[in-house]
Amino acid sequence: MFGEMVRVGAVDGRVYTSREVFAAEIERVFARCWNYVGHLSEIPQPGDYRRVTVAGRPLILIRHEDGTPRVLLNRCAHRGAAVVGRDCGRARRLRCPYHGWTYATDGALKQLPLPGGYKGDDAPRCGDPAWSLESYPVETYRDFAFVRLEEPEKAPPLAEFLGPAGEALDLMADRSPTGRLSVAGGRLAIVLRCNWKVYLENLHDGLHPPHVHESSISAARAAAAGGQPPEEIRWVAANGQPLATFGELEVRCHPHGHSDMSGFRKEADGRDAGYREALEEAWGAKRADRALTRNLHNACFYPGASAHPQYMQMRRLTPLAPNRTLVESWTLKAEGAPESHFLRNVRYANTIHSPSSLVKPDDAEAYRRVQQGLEGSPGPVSQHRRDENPGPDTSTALSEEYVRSQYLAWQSYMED
Amino acid sequence: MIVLPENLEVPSTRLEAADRVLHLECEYLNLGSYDQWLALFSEDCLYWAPLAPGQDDAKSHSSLFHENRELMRMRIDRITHEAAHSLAGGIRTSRTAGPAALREIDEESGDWIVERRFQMTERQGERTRLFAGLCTYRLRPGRESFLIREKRVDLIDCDQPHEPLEVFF
Repeated sequence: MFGEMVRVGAVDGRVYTSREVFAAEIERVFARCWNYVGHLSEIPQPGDYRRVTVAGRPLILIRHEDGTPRVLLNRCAHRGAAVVGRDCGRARRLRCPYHGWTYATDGALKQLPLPGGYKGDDAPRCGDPAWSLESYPVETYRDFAFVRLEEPEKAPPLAEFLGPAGEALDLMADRSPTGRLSVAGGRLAIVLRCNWKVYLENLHDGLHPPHVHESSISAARAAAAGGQPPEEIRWVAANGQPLATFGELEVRCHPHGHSDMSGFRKEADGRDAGYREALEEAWGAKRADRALTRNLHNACFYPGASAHPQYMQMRRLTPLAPNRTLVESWTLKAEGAPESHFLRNVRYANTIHSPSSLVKPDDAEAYRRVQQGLEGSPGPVSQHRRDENPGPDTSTALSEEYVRSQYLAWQSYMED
Repeated sequence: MIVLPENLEVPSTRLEAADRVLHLECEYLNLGSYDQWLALFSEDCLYWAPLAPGQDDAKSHSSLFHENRELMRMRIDRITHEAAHSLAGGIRTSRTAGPAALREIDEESGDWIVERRFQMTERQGERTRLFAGLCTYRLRPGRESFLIREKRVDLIDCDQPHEPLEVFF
């Protein structure tokens, strides 16, 4: 039923506006995929936890006392109250504030008041899995933790799910000679008034910058006119490259809707004394050079995450409603990398991912207008016909192949 | 009028001058007179809206805004550009400020550190938003008046998700 709403050249507008489609996407796309829930550095010690919402479900990412990451449903088995109220913290036990039901860090029920008040074989008992906080499978890739809420029979393990797209996470971890990263510098969060797919469909869109970003390109050019502009201005001005340049950016489409783009906003990293050598010693010359020079921009882990390895940015997308999407971003700090890289990456995050970014408002406005247009007028839209049949390995930022690839994945999830 | 801490006396003309700068700072933004607003700031100025409550480091921690004069100028050029699509429906803002209080005079620089609570209502297109928080100014004394060396804005919901933030608070 849903699959028929999407054809090359004619996507039914309700795919972006219907509450029914949105509800089905949450259960069929997001709940069935591996979703990024956080980096292990965010829960370094046993009992460290963070709240996170995935596919509409309130979850707790927590480090169990045996050191493994767990994801638990933040819902007491008694009356359903949210057990954890803080965004993050450390706890040896998780105690519901309502009646004091208490759980271990793996979700096992450890204590409840007056257990004698329950009778029968199915009565709540400490240690009984039926009365635990529900838990979900967690897998990690280079310390990036992903969760899957449903376990369809043929669902692949995380590494297989990521496939070639995992390279973006490798590039980030390989920027540390120890492979250790830590989330640092806070979380930036922006709410977009559009369907979540509208956001993803812009990730490698090289045709929009001259139009959408005209105001910030013009402002950046004026700012740069004085001589050697600082990086912040150059990052904004990069959108003003000729369209032909975007046609030179290689876009790769991977299985499961993932994709990445290489070549945008290149930096000359690796000149710091000793850094390249340290990476070469750790990973070998070829891999070290790749970590320092290969620039994957807006690598997409469909449907809910995106990474920008060069600037060590990780983003998570959370659909809030058919027309509202939350995008959060974090900067990763690489152990053993020059401090100047981390400080630059924080400035990059401020410039590109902050709600105050000069680049973001006009993107957000374009998304909002797409949403507005679709909500106000039923019928199909020509969504992704540009540059048909380029082949998955020869696409560029001027092709809409990656959107078609996203919809192939969408259909496979939605049609089941 | 600016509230003084106990045991500190300053000439009333200086107080009036500082008060006037703070008044204009707010009103120029309300009127969208950004060039006149920027002229209130020193060449080495900073506009900073932290991302975390109590944040004391803007280098190794992200911020909502962290802009020197050059970046402030770039923002003004962008929001006044005719192709700023997000502002096509217009933007109107109204800031109101509580009483300003002189917290201290920096012994080394002579800068005045002044705080005041503020609320801002923003109407952009079809959406109205409210912002509230504390503004902390570092005012550099000149011969007749003051230049704003730094304006720091601590929103009460600085660490929460926001839709795009385009104009200065």
